[in-house]
This record gives sequence, structure tokens and C-alpha cells, in this order.
Amino acid sequence: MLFFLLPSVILVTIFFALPVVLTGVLSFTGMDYSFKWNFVGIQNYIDMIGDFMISTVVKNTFVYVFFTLLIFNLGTALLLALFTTTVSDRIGGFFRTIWMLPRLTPSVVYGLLWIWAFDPTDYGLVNIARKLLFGLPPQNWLQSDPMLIIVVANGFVGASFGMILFTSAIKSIPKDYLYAARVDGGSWFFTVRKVILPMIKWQILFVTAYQTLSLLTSFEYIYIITDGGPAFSTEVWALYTYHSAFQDFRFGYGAALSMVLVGIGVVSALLYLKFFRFREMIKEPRIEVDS
Amino acid sequence: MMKEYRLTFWQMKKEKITKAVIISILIVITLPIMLTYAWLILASFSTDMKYGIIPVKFTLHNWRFLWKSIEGYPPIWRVFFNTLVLALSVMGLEVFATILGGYALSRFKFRLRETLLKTVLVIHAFPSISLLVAIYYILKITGLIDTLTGVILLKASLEIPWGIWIMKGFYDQIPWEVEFAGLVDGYSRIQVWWKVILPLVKPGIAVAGIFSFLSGWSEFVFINTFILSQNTWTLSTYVKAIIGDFRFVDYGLLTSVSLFYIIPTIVFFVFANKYLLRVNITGTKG
Amino acid sequence: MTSIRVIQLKKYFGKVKAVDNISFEVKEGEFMALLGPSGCGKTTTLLTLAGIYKPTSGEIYFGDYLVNDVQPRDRNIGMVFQSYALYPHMSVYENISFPLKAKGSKKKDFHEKVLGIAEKLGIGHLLDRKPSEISGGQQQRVALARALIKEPQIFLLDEPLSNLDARLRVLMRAEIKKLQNDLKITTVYVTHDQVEALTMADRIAVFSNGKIMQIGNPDEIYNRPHNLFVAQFIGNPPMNFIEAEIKEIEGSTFATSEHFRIRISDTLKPYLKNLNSPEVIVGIRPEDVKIYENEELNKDLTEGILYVIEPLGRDEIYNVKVGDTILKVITEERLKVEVGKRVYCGFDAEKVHIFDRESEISIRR
Repeated sequence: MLFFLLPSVILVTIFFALPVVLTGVLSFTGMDYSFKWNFVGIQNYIDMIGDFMISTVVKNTFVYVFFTLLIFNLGTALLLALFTTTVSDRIGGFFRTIWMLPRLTPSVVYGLLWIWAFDPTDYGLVNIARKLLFGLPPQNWLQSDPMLIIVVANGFVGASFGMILFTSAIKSIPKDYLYAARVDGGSWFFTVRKVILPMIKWQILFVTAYQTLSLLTSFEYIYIITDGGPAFSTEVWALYTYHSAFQDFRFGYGAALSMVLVGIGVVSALLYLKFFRFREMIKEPRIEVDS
Repeated sequence: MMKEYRLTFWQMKKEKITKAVIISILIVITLPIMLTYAWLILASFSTDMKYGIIPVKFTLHNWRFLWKSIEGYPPIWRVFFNTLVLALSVMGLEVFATILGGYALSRFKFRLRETLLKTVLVIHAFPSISLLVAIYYILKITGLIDTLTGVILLKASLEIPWGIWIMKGFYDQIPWEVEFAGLVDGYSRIQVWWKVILPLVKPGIAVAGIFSFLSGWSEFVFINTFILSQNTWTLSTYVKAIIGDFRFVDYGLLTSVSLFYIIPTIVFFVFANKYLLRVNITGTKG
Repeated sequence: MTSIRVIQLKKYFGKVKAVDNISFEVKEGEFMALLGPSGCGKTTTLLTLAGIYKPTSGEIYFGDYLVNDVQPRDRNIGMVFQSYALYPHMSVYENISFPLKAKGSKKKDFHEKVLGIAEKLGIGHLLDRKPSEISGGQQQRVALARALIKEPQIFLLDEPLSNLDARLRVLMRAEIKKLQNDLKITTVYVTHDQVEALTMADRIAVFSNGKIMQIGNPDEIYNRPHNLFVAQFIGNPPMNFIEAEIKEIEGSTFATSEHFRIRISDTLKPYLKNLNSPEVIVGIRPEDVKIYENEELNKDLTEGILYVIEPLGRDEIYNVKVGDTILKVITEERLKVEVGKRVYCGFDAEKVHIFDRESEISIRR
């Protein structure tokens, strides 16, 4: 039996458990590119609070997470799930498939697509659309609205997670409820509001919680498209951590910044276990009315 | 007392109108995706693009990187080879660890089982980027920095918990009786696993294999962070560098290199979109 | 109240012919049962009447109006589902008032109505509870209340009693029948339970494989089955079937086989001309067979061995082995014969059914 678990346990210990501990330890050092261990106590954390960049980074992070979550990871995801389950399965499936593309595409290529879309000349998609539809001149989006770019780029990827979950939840609502709602009357909106949404409440909560954590710690697409710029206007916490460690070579400080993320990660994981494990353990959702 | 069933035109058509509106909205919001990917394909084969989306003249010039390396960049085939090695190794390692681990968590009763299951979930929800600093240190002192091996081990390790969860799901579907029969027939547990159970979870292995391959193929952050010399570049860093240098200058080259990079993704996509949704639903119960 | 007319209805799902060209009528205020085994198309028919399925071809009329394209919510129907489909996140009160709220009704308008119908169905004291907090029988009444609150013209029920235990089922059967009687609402009731159909319905349509085998009132269905399917589906214990040939012997007509010789009565004789060949299947209900302990002359008795006895309390089912066939005979009498001993069976000639062996149609059709 041990034989079966050994490879996994070894790998996970070295590359997960150990780093977690090490991050904590490193956060109390002032290690830089020389890799010397010099313990500085909680200096890094003090620096963090006094760091003039911190307030900008925090603000950026909250703005980014809030809008991406609301508009895309939740909003668009729900919309997609509701719409694609209302139309025929073939058409619905077609749209869902397309929305999976962003998530499956390697990040660098996906980043390129948005770089082109928001190209400052009239060669980029958005500027073309503005010209054709409204006759407006091209805009340099990277300068004027970098936050918009990263919210949109991350959003199109993020929406597919909720879309899949919500679609599966809606599809597992026993058909009789939907038939009864159709017989009892009410427009599409009424049925959605009164019958479908309440029945996927748990999934909505789960997606909110899970995606919030996901967004708080994401930075890959931002790194590729704006790299935190221009002038730190899109520098979110995770990216700031990455820059501090691997651009400025302040490993100790970077570790301290990482610890904040670790802290958030641990708290979230505990909350999930408490709240949602209960759901995972029960196979069917608790909505069967059975005598 | 007879109820009137005469309906207005509006009422009759309401259902059709609702559906038409829904489809229109869907098309509008999906348009960005469709257009950007269309651009990717079209621009890579065209000398220039009018209105950004209409190709002007067919050309293969953008694909020159396939037979002549770009100045200052490693030859594409070396990079391609690195990426392939990375993807296959990640796949091999992950499949190996998860078909074992998934079986253990599905079939063995031991005291730590509950804890391990919980741990798996915790790890999956954990932000891996918060560990990059520590991991850099570990790779440095084990001499694995700037090697593909280091990245392979790292990537596999972080994805194994999720892989175990998926494989466990497949193992759970097999009825216990099949194993009992094997044991009664005289096999040891390991033999039963190898000869009887494994063939039955082939779909699970295929799923795990495909996803880990694609994951390895797409890997960017770890390569970007831990790989320093051009020799060990993979396609992801290659593309990133090209974007850095040729942005605004040569979209043709950018798109062709990118398209080259995402060929496996597209292949997978075309052949597997039916199964994709089913797997996701199975894997995210509740 | 509205009448229903279904004309040549077909509903196909791809290649599967769930409903294959059926036609029937339900008169105003009538209680029509759609009866048949699982998968025979009765639920599909009901859902098509509701408008949830669109017919592949064929017409549905409510009264004089063609309703094929009318949406379910505009058809003014009340529907009860097998699973009741009570919204679990709403209280009983909210479940019942849901159809009225959906149409835009305000609380001050429907409050009285909800209380009224809840009282009528005996669930007035449960209005604040959630569906998971009440029993199956109570849930069913809530489902009924919800269906009836909008005072629909047509009442559709899809096996509403199958989730209840046997005792409750018997109780609710009578209640639903009474309810329908009081409201005089046109009702279509789907079930696979023949007892429900026979006891509740004014008329029954028997379904098999997407087609209607026979429509008639309970008496017709039971005593004059048109074909073999209806004959063997209705009746518990089921009808006995014997393969035989029609022969003239000494001036009288018999249905005979190796072990059987069954007299054909004079009332039945004229119908024999409907046969395509002398090969038939004879049907006789267990209650129409009499067992004799001794052979008696001047009666055409069939000889057999008493195989097994199934005591039912009030009646007993005697299984008699005749050749390779086992006849089931039900009687209130207690015979003094032991298992394994010889007995003699007499068939009530007036109750014999003859079916053409090939077409499976009754000669009296």
C-alpha cells in the first residue's frame, strides 16, 4: 500500500510541503541574489506596511478581483450557463465549447490575442470596432485603461469555470421542476429567478469563494500583457511578489509578500473544507423532495 | 365557460423571439473569442491584414522560422523538442504517480485516509505562485535550476493532488466484486491492480494523460522563472520573447509562431470537445 | 370545462416512435385514464397535451381551438407530476400560490384562494412548512392544490400515486376521484396500475408501444377486450390463454387442443366468421373457471392435476396443470382436493374469449 502512495508523497513533500515551510522561514531573512542567510526578524513585514507601493498594489488587487469576479467569473458565467441551457443542446454546446478555448490556450498565445485586440493603432480589434460602429479614432488602451484590458483578458478565461459548474448544476435540476414551472406560467425571467437560481445557490457560492481566491493569486496573464504597467497601474499583489523576488532579487521580502498569499490560501482552504466538504461528500444536491 | 385560446401574434411568437434574442446576445459576447482566434489563423498566412481581420495576400513567409532561425533566437526545433520533452515527461510522471495514488485512496482503508483526502483538496486550492521564492531556493541548491528536469518535477508535483482526485473518481466506479474475483482467483493485490483494474480505468488514464500533456505543453511561469539559458527554452518563453521584440512590428511572425505553438491544443480541441464537458461534470461533483 | 380532441398524434424522438399515430377524445368533465406498462407512450402523450413536447405531427384541440402552438402556461391546465415537483426552497403557501404569482397576481388577491383550497385538501395547517418537512401524502395534496389553484379547464396527472405506500394509495384514489367529481374538471390521468384506472376512470385508453390498443369504459375494457394485449394486461390474476383450433364435432363447435375441449356457445358462434383461420387463442378469466373434484357427465370438462394453491384470505387461487399449461382459477370455495390429485375444470361458455392467433384480435371486435 505504501508503494502506491510513495511517489506522490515524496514529490508533494519536496515541492509543496517543504516550500510552504521554507517560505515562512525565508520571510524572516533578508536574502537576496547572494543567497546568504541573514535573519532580520520581522523587518520584512514592517517594510511591507511602510512600502509606498503597497497601497497602490492593494488597491489594484481589489479593483481587479472585484470587477473580474462580478462581471466575468460570476456574471458572464451565469449568463452563459442560463442561455446555453435554454436553447437547444447543440447550439448551447457550441457556444460553451468556444468559451473553453481561452482556458485551454497556452497563456502566452492567449495574451498575444488581447495584445492585438487592444493594439493602440487602428489595426487592433477594439479600435477597428470603434471605428466601424461609432466612427471613433483609435485609442491607446494600454495608456488609458490598462485595468480594463486585464479585467477583460482574465475574465474571458475565468468565465468558463463557472460556466461549466453552473451548466452542470442546471442540467441536474430534475426535469419535473422545470416542467411544472412551464405549466404554471411565468416568463423566462420569472422561471430563472424563482426556480433555477435558488436551486443552484450552492454552486454560485462555491464559484464565488473559489474564484475569489483564484483571482487574488493570479498574475500570469497580467504579467504577459501589461507586466504591471504602465507605471504600476496594474500591479497586483501576486505580480508584485513576483517582481520583488525575480526582478529585484529581494527573496526575503518576496517571501514575506508570499506569506500573505499563503495566509489567504490557508484560510480559504479551511473555509472550503468547513463549508463545502459537506457538499462534496454528499453526491446529490440536497434538493430531492423525496418521501 | 369555454376558455378562449385565441392568442395574439406576440404570444404565439414569444418563445421564438426569446430564443432569437438569447442567441443574438450569445453571438455578440462570444464574438471577441471567435474573431481573435480567426485573426490568429488568418494573420499567420497573410502578408498584411486589412481592418485587422481581412487577409490581403496568402504567404508562407511568416512561417520562415521553421526553416531559418530568427536572429538572436535559438532554432525553433530545439525549442520544440524541449517543449515536447517537458510535456511528455510531465505526463509520464503524473500518470505514474496518480494511477498509483488514486488507487490507494480509492481502495485502501487506512487511518490517514480522511486526512489525505482533505490534504489533496487543500493543495489544489492553494496558490502555487506563493511558493515560487522557496522553490527557487530549493532548485538552486539541488542543482536543478535552469534544467528541464527541475521544472518537470515541480510541475508534476503540484498537479498530482488533482490528478489523484480524478483517478480516484474513476477507480471508485469499479465495483468491488471485480477485485474480489481477482483475489479469489489467486492474484496478489498488486497483480489484481495491474492485470484487472488498470485496464478498466483506461478512460481515466487517457484523461489524466491528455490533460497533463497539455498542461506541460502550455507551461510558462515556471519556465520563465527557473530557466535561464536559451538552450533550455520552451515554446512558451520563445513566444513571449518574440512578442517582446516584434510587437507592433511583425504580427505575421507573431501569429505564425503562436499558431505553431498551439497546434496540439487545437488538435485536442477538435477531437475531444464532446468528452470535455462530460469529464468536467464528473470531476466537479456537487 | 373544455373537451380534448387528439387527432393522429405522433411524437418521435429521432428514430424512437414514442407515440405512433393515436387519436382519442375526452369529453367535458370526463375522467380519462391512459393506462399501460412503462415506456408505452402514455406519459409522452400527457406531456404533449401539456405543451411541454411539441407533436411531430397530428393535432390537439382543446374545445374548438387548435392548441399545438400554444405555450404550456397559456393552456390553462393544472398538472401533477409523479415526483410532485414541489419547489423545495419555498413554503407550502408559496408553492401553492406560485402559479398565481407567475401570472402577476398580488397577495391580496390570491390569499383567500390559497387558504380556501388548502382547507379543502386538508393541508391548511401546513402552509408555513417546507416540502421536506411534510409527509408524502401531504406533499401530494400540496401538488394537487398547486395544480388546481388557477381553476384550470384541464387537469393532467402523471402517475401521482406511485410514490405512496399501498394504504395511502387506496385512500387517495378515492379522494382524487371525489375531487374530480366535485369540480367536474376534464381530467387525463396516466397510470400503469390497472386497479387505479378501473376504479377511477370514466373511460380508459390502453396503451402499448406508442399505440392505443383500446378505448372504453372499465366494463368494456374488462369484459370485452379487443385484443390479446388488453386481455392479458387487465385483470389480476391475469386471464388464462390456451392455444386451440376451432373444430366441428358432432354438430357442436369446440375449441380444441391436445388436452382441451372447450364448447363454443351459441352467442359466440356467429362471430367465428371473423376468423382468418381456425387457429385461435382462447382466453378465460380465472374467476370464470369452475373446478370439480369429480368428473361429471354432460359437462365438457377438462382434466388436469392440481399443481399448487395460493391462499389469498378471502379467495384461493388454484393452479391446475393441464398438459404443459397452468390454468389459474380463483374461487371463494374451499375444495377438498390435495395438491397432486386430479381435478376437472369447467369453462363458463358465455365468458370465453376467442382471439385470432395471428392478428391477436378478439372475434367480437
